[in-house]
Amino acid sequence: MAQSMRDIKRRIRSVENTKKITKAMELVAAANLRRAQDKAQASRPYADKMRDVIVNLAQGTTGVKHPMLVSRPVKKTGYLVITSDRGLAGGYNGNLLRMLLQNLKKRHQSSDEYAIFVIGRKGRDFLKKRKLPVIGEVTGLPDFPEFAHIGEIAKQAVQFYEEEKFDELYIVYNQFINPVVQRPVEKRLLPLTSEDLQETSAAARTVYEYEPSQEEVLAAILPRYAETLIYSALLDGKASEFAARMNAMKNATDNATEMIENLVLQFNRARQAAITQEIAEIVGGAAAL
Amino acid sequence: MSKMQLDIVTPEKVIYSDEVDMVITRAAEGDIGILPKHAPLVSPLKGNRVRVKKDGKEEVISVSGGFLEVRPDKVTILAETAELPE
Repeated sequence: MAQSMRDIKRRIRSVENTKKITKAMELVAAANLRRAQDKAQASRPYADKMRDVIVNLAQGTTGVKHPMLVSRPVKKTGYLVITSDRGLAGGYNGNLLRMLLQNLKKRHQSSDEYAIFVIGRKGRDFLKKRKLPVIGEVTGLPDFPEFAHIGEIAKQAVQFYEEEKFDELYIVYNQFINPVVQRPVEKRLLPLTSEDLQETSAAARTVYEYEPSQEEVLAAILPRYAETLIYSALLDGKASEFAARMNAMKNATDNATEMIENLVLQFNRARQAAITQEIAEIVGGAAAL
Repeated sequence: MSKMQLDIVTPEKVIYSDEVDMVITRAAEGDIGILPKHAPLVSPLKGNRVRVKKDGKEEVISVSGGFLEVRPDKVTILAETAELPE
């Protein structure tokens, strides 16, 4: 009995240590989540403003055509996948990558038909292990990435579309719905669909002069807009990551608490049993005299 | 003298937002100075300096890449990065 009491005690200590770690990670994730949400919020005016200008251009200039606004027959598809660098975030990466694989299988016959850009170590390792065509990667992003951190991969993705290396570009990431719910989504980024540009705002109704010309302004602004959308998706993904980690760690902490309770109960039982046995032995010994 | 709203916005945040008297910068076809009630205009930015006049004082804000959107009461500069003077 004494042996198992010591074992139980050791396990309690071990679970307590784990609980401390998960609790700390939960708190850190919660604090980061708030900052990430603020950042996602702060990036919105930029994207909104750009959208206003593009809507205005697209509506006011029926004659203006730009490859980014026109669908063409799809021979090759690009994917931009946003995952995290670190794990311990529940189903954050798993759900997203599972959805991606399903979609790839459904949509394509062979791996020649698509190419993947990936952000985040988890996604990169996963895709490389499966020998999927990864043509660009960014890992080791800070918790609160700046535009410059993904500028290159975003530019590259948009450029490949412009050069017709692929004919559509999807972005795959975890959409932040609320701190408890994050949903893996796949959105078509390019070509920009007309529904995206339907709504009108005050700015869209203003008649602008364009310098040097409508076409050139549009040609300059559309790639920027696509890059901005990628950046917003990244910020959204980061917020989701922290939310997912916070929940996963909260569950882990709760489980640890429950486990400790059970172990303490077991320990007390074992202790009581040991005492009872000792008394029984003494009584038995006294009776024998 | 009337003023206009100037917003300088980057993907990360709104860098500058204030009422100003005049904005001077370089657009696609040369330097332009924008006073309140300017005709609506959209142009890429060519230079990387935006001079802002406000109450007789002048500030220079560094920007890189981006666009200028002008409306009669409001100027918006969408820049990839922007830095305020110290």
